Parts: sequence; structure tokens; C-alpha cells
Amino acid sequence: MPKTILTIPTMPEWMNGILLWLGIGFLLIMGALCLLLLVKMWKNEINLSTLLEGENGNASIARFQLLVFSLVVAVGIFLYILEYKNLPDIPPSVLTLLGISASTYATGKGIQFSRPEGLMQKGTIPPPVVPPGAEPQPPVIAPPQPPEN
Amino acid sequence: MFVAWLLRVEFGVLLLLFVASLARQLWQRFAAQKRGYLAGSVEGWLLLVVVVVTAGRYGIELARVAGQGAMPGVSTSLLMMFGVGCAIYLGAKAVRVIRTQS
Repeated sequence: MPKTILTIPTMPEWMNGILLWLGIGFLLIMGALCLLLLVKMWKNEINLSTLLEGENGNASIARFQLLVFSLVVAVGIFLYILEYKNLPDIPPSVLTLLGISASTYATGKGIQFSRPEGLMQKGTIPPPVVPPGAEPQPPVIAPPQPPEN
Repeated sequence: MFVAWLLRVEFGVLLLLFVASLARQLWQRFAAQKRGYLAGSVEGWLLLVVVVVTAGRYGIELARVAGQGAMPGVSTSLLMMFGVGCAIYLGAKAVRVIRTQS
């Protein structure tokens, strides 16, 4: 039986030049799109300022920790991709860390939603418990308190 | 080679600008709020400290092993500390809710 020899065709030289310019063009277009988004963020046309606020208007540590760990791991993956041009093997401990972080956020949200006071804006009094059949009352705005000395 | 350099510089700069823009928006929001915006509970401040320590140490580890061919893992002690911090935070929050309802 005769041996078959596989030959891999090599890419012509002129295609290297085309690929180079395609790569540069793609990067410039993507960079311009990202820059457009950043300009909109700078002008507050894209507003992410309430990213860390809970439903009651206060800063939420559960949201903050989820944001911090997502950003740290995303930066790590980003740096790896820049260095090696492929996706990294993410260690199980990092996945565990992200799991604990997301679970804490979700559980905290569940606890907060389990009572009406957790959803009220600052300065509002929760409505009284309504008996079945009666019409619910809207929440009452608390009167301003005199300044403390 | 030039494309790889462009990729690194361009998206590195864009990432830094994104983080700066986000921080600016969050700071503007914080400055516009009244007193009490950050007034949190003891367990909230405890979780904040744990998060800063965990994220800081992992960030340092990321920077230290950059270029060695693998993403670093999180040490077991750090993971345990973060898990215990989260458990204390959630437990205290749940107890407060139960006491408020009763």
C-alpha cells in the first residue's frame, strides 16, 4: 500500500499583508466604538451612577463586592488574553470566589425583599398592614425632623 | 507584532478610561447624596474590609504572576475568610429582619 503524504498548503505572502491591514482596521473600529461609549459615559448620557445603590436609595455593600470581584477577575482574564492570545483555564478557586460573591448578592437581595421596609425610600413610613378586602393606602412621607444641636 | 502591540495599548488604555469614568460617575453620585448614604451596619463595614483585603491580595497575586502562563488561584485561607465574612453579613442581616418583624 503506497504511503500518502499530506502537504499543508502555505499561505501566500500577499495574504499576510491583507490580514495585517484587516487586523489593524478591526482594532481601530472597535477602539472607536469603545471611545464613543466612553464619551457618552463622560457626558453622563450613559449613567451608571446608581450601580451601587440598593432599592432603598442607600449604598449597597453586596452590590459593591460583586462589582469589585467581577472587575478584578475580568481584568485578570483580559491581561491573560492580551499576553497569550487565547482563553485561560480559570482556576476552581476563582470560580468559587465568584460563586460566593454572587450568592451573597442574591441572598442579601432575598432578605431585603422579604420585608416592605427594605424596599422603602429614605424618609417614608411603611403603610399599615391591610386586612383582606380593604383598599391599600399609599406610603406616607415623614415630616422633616428639626436639626440636631 | 504591530497588531498585538496595538491591541495591548488600545484596549489597556480603554479599560483604564472605563474604570476612571465609572469611578467619576459613582463619586459624583456620592457627593450629591445627603449624610447617611454610606451609614451602614457593623456587618456591612466588616464585609467591606474583608472584600478590600481579598480583592487587594488577589490583585497583587495577579500582577505578580503576570506573564507566567496561567491565571493564579485564590488561596484557601483567603477564600475561607471571604466566605466567613459573607456568612456573618448575611446572618446578621437575617437576624435583624426577623427581629424587626417580631
